Amino acid sequence: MLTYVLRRLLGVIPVVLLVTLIVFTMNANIPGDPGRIRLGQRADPAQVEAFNFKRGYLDPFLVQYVRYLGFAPSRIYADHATFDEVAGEETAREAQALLSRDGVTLSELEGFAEAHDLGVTEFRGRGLLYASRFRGVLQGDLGESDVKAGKRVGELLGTSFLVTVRLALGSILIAMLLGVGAGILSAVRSRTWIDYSSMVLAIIGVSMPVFWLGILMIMFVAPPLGLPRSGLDDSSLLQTIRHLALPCTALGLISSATIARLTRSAMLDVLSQDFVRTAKAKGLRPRVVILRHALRNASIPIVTVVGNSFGYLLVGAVLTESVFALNGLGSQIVESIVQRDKMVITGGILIMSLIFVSVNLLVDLSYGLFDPRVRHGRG
Amino acid sequence: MAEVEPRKFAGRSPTQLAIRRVKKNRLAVAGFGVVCVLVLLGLFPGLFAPHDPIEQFRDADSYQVAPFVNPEHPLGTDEIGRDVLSRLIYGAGISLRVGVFGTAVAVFIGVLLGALAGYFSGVTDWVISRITDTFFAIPSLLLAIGILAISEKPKEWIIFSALGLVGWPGVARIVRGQVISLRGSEYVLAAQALGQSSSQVLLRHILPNCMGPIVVLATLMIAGNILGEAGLSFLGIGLPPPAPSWGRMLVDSKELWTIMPWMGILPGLTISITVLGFNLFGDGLRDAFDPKMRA
Repeated sequence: MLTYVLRRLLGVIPVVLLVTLIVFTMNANIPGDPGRIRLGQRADPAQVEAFNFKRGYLDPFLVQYVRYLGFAPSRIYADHATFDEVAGEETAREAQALLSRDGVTLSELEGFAEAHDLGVTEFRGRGLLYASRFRGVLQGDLGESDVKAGKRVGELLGTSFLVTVRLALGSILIAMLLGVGAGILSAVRSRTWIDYSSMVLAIIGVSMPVFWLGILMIMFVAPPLGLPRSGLDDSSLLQTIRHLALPCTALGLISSATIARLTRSAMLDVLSQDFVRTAKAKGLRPRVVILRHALRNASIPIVTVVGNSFGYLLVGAVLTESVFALNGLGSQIVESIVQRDKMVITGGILIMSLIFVSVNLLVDLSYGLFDPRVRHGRG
Repeated sequence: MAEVEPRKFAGRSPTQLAIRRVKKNRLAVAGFGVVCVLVLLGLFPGLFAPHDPIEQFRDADSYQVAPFVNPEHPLGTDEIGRDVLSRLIYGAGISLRVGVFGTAVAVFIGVLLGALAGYFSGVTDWVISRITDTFFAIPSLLLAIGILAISEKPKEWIIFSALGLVGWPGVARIVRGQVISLRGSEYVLAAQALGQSSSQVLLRHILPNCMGPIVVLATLMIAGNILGEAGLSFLGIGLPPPAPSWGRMLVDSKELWTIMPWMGILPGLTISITVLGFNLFGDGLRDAFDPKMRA
């Protein structure tokens, strides 16, 4: 089992690396000059260039990528907001004093840098002091917002991450209970009115955009129940539940449709196998056959289904957040696209992908819990 | 004793048998009907739409009028007085084109990579499979959003290319599986023994036998792409206004859903019926091509 877990974990690494490469390549091709975006359209071109230079945007793509991952040190220049933290307060103070002096020479700076474990580069005839630190994805740092001055991407995405996670957990709970339940019931009562009606509902659910269900709920469900139409209020647990009830229900219902359809076919597959017929022939009660024989063997496909639908659920969460004006990861990414805040877009998409990859990894690893044969066979 | 005429049996290909099975499935036929209507509306919107989709009617009995009130505007007008029915009809073209061409892009990439991975195995397979896994790992709509962010003002071809770039891994996985299962079969070995090149074997002998699952997947994928386009427009990253995209119609009337409920209902209903049509037809095709799948 342990080697199996290790092998799966190792298998995830190239995928995660490729995900970062794709997302970062996309990011590099989004139009818009970060310096211009931060400093404004009428800013001095020399300042814009200096800004881009200090952020490393003028460096070759591969260098930027390796720094973003955290395999190469990033340069934090002396005028950066986090320079104090990185270089130490005392060094930072001395550095500022040195830099503000008129006519400071390059060799003086170099001497200072040598003494304090800093670096110096020359840009447009001026010496610039910087500290080198590994600050990238590997160190849990997603960089700095291009638009909001001094805001780390991790900080910006942290609060919205919590919103999305709660929305996703609430929805997957509803979707699993409803979807797996309906799927099993339909398979067991195959070709009866229960089967037909739940499968008709399921195909309608698959076809309906989640944001439209959200709109319908805002129009027809929220007013009679007195539930809030949008936003999130975390003042008390009750308020949080009241605000998340409709979004979770909308997203959960839509996701349950796919789960129900796939669970039904997985269950039918198992029910048609020989050992089920044998169990029935032995005279076991139908209840026992379904719960002990069929369900246990259908559990792996069902868990796989739930794991795979988590991807759709994350996509649905982006749309649901938009309908109900929740400030989640999806809304954050969409807003950043409008503002052309590249680092936040990259970080957001990366986090969403990592959530999806981890969920699928957990699903794979959970097979052993459901089916002892996996433990021996592949372990 | 009268002479008995030998009964004639018309030979039926598997495809003909599948079509017969689809015809017997009433839901699939209904879905096909919806698809046909959509194609007609999408190809010739001018024949059916009563008005220009971007013309604004400002007079008192046309502006923001509810459905079934003014016969000039059977489904009412929107928040700035445009005819809703006409916008829905013109929107069908956008949905259809994005859905179909997006699927075409995905099928092209997916079949190419899936066939290569399945046929050549080894390193080729490993590399392509890792790329497929990676594209699977990024939630589809987010990847499409990221690709669309690269273009300043998205045009239709950019949107369907983005959806195609997002959708191909599903096709690649299915094609790879099919190719692997056919690769060792006797007729393929025979073709190889006759000295046919790899591309001839793939194109002439293996791929035609994978068509069933590809057609089924493509039909369902059109449904998914129509939903995807609606979602992108709803997020405001689809076609810029005044294009009558269905998702855009919903979000543009956002502030007015309570006083103009038809603007919150009609575009969503249209999307749902369209997607339902493709899904029912696709399900029918799947049951017909693969009788084992039927319960």
